[in-house]
Formats: sequence, C-alpha cells, structure tokens
Amino acid sequence: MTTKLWANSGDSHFIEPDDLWTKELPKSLADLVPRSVKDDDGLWETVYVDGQSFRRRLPKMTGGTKEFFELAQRAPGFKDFSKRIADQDEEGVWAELVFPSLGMWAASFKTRELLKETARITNDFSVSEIMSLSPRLLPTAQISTLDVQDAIDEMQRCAGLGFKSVFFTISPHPMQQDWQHDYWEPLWAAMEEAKMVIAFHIGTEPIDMAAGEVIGITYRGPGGAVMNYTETTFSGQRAVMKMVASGALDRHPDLKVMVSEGGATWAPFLADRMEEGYRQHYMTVRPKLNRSPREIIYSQVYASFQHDPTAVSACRDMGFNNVMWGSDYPHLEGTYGHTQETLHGLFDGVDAATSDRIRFGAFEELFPSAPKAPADIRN
Amino acid sequence: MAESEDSFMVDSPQELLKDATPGYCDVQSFVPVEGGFAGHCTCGAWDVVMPTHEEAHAGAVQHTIEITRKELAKRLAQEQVK
Repeated sequence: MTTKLWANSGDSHFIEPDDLWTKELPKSLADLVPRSVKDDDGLWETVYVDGQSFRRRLPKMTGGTKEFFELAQRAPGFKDFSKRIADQDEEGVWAELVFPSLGMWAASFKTRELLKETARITNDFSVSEIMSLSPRLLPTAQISTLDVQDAIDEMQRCAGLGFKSVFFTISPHPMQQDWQHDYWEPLWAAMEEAKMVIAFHIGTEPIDMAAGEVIGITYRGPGGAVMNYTETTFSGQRAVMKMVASGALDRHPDLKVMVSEGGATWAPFLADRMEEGYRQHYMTVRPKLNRSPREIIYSQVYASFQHDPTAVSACRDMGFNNVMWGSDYPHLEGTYGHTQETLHGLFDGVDAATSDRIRFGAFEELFPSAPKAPADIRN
Repeated sequence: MAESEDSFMVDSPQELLKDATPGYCDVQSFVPVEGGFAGHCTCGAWDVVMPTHEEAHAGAVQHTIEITRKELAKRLAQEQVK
C-alpha cells in the first residue's frame, strides 16, 4: 500500500453562498454585487460587476471540457462547508490558507461603500462559518483597497477577529494607485504591526470595461488555452516586483508576502533580474534599499504551487526556501481527486528536509498559529 | 434570462475572460456613460451608445445573432446524429 502523503495548502478557496451579500446589503448596493445571468439560448452569459457588465460566450461543454468541468466540481465540500474537513482528510491536506472565490473580483469594484461592506460581510461569514469549523482552516481577510483608511480599519478589525492574512488582488482598481506608491505606506506599517500576511492571488486583475478594450493579453489559435493560462501567472510576479523595488518590504522587514498559485521558480528568477537591475542602474535607483532585492525576496516572499515539478528545485537547489504546496481546492485547476498522485509525483525520492519544508514547514513559518500536523502524518 | 446555476464567477476574473480576443465576437461590454450605456464588442466592429442597459444588451444579442444561430444549428445537428 502506498504511503499517504499529507501537506498543508497555501492556496485553497471557499465558495461564497449565492445570497451572502444580497441578503444583508441595502438594495442600492445589492444590485451592484457580482452575478451572472445566462441568455435563454444557454450559449451566452452576462456578468454584472458594480455597474458594468459584459456578455461572454460560455465554454462549450463537450468532450474534454465537459469532463473537466464535471470532475472539477465533484468535491462534496464544494459548497457544503460541513463536508470540507472530510474532503481534506481524504485527500491528505492538513491546514489550508482559504481564499475567497467571488471575492477575487474585488479589484473590479469601483463603489467604495460596496467594497467596504462586502468585505465586512465576508469576513464576518468567514469567522462564523469557516474558522469555526476547524483551526486547520485559515481564511484570508478581505479589505477595501479603494481607500487606504478603509483598508487599515478593516484589517485591524480582522486581526482582532483572529485572521492571520489579508487577501490582495495583484493590483487595485485602475482608479486607485498601484502597490508601489507611497499612498499604501500606512497600510504596510499597520499590517506589519498586526503581523498580518499579504496574500496575493494570481488572476485577480481588475476588469474595467470603461476603456472598451480587451482585458490583458489574450491569444487565440494554436496554443491559445495554454498561453492564456500562463499569462495569468505573471501578475503575481509583478506585484512582488513592485513591493520590493518601491522599498515597501525593505522598510517593513517583518511584513511577509505570499503569492498563491503562481508557481515557485519565478522567485529566484525575479531575484536575479532585480539584482541585476539594481546593480546596473544603482546611480538612478530610487529608493536605495538597505538590503538587496534577493535578500528581501528570499526572506519575505513565499510562493505556492500545485503541480509544478520545478518548485521542489526552487527550494532544494536554488536556495529559495519559502516554497509551499497548494491544492487550489475546490477550483477547476485544483488537485481534488488526484492529490495523492500529485504529492507522490512531486515528493517521492525527494530528501526528507526539502519535502517537509515544502509540505509543512514554509506554511508553519508563515502562519505559526496554525495547528502543526501530527507526527503520525508528517512522514 | 435565467440565473446561472453553475456560475463560473467563482473562478478568477482572468479565468473568466481568458477567451476574449481582439477581432472575435467573444465579449461585449456595457459601460455606463453620459446618455446611457456604451456597448463594445471585442471584434472591434460594434460600438454603440444606447439609452438603457437592456437596449445595449439587446443590441449585443442582435450583433452576435449569426454566431448564436450557427452554434444552435450545430448542436441540433449533433443531437440528431445521436
């Protein structure tokens, strides 16, 4: 019998109940929350987000696509939280960092009161429905980034409620200043003091239809699906680049950053490139850093991955010790149903220290209050 | 229109829009502007301003009617083969 491998997940999600926001918000705000409505022909879907909307062609549910979607949503705990721990025990997942799902649209909200209230509602829900299930579940807090004081106020409230991290979209709404700007300095200082982790998640760029242009870079034709997915991973790297080069992380050495679902080997690569840039252009670099970009990335940045075989090498061979595994449960690209196959494929034959670090240690270091995996499953 | 039972909005925004490509009728947007709603299609050949969202949406449906008809005909033919 194959040994069951366990791991912590630095990238899991919960699915918000359909009426989570609408049942609590006044109608003027409830009408603005994200929702989707299919055309009667079933071929198109109109998505509404805070006053703007777009109509898109639904994926064709045939062949491999249909099978993929059916398999992706078979987790019993997909929407039934009472079954979540059983799913994790079956798959071999101990502790989870739990991101929102609908909440990942936060950067597309432009109404300050809407974002503020939906964040508050979701955070209260996370306390009562997720944290209460098990200390193994660490939901991320959500904050409004349409105003820095709103962000600070909710972050501090959530720190008091027991949250250990804050979910950040990889960039804020286009009408807001990006993460490298000094506007956010009070938030970074407050988060460092509160010992809250910045938890970026890839693929959360704002959708702003006002420009009437295609969002981001998209490809069609040969290789399109693979290229489009790969493009979504670059955003997390840019977020870290901004936090390092602007001096935000240098000024706050105890502030930790997580980039979920973006892989791991980008971190050593990014360190190389930023070191080179800092060296070559030192005379014009502003601000000057007290520590090198590499030192900052290697000490303050953490990365999670699901299937990437090179992630182990990033830790073992490139010295980037802050690599952790993630299941992406219960999302489409997640490992539910094949977690054991995934973990064995990644860690069979890997030295014990590296395996333990990636499966448990990096997560425990970032979230020291999370329950440690029992010795009998820490193989 | 019916509320989606299996909404893909639980995936990331970029996942939802990854198939929006310039030159193709993949996505139509409706943005509030002075005077109503601005409708735009990723094909680049449809830009309108309509007084209400409903009218802009109806315009998008009409703009893509041929695509919809072809797809429905294709699916009907596949069903009949089965």
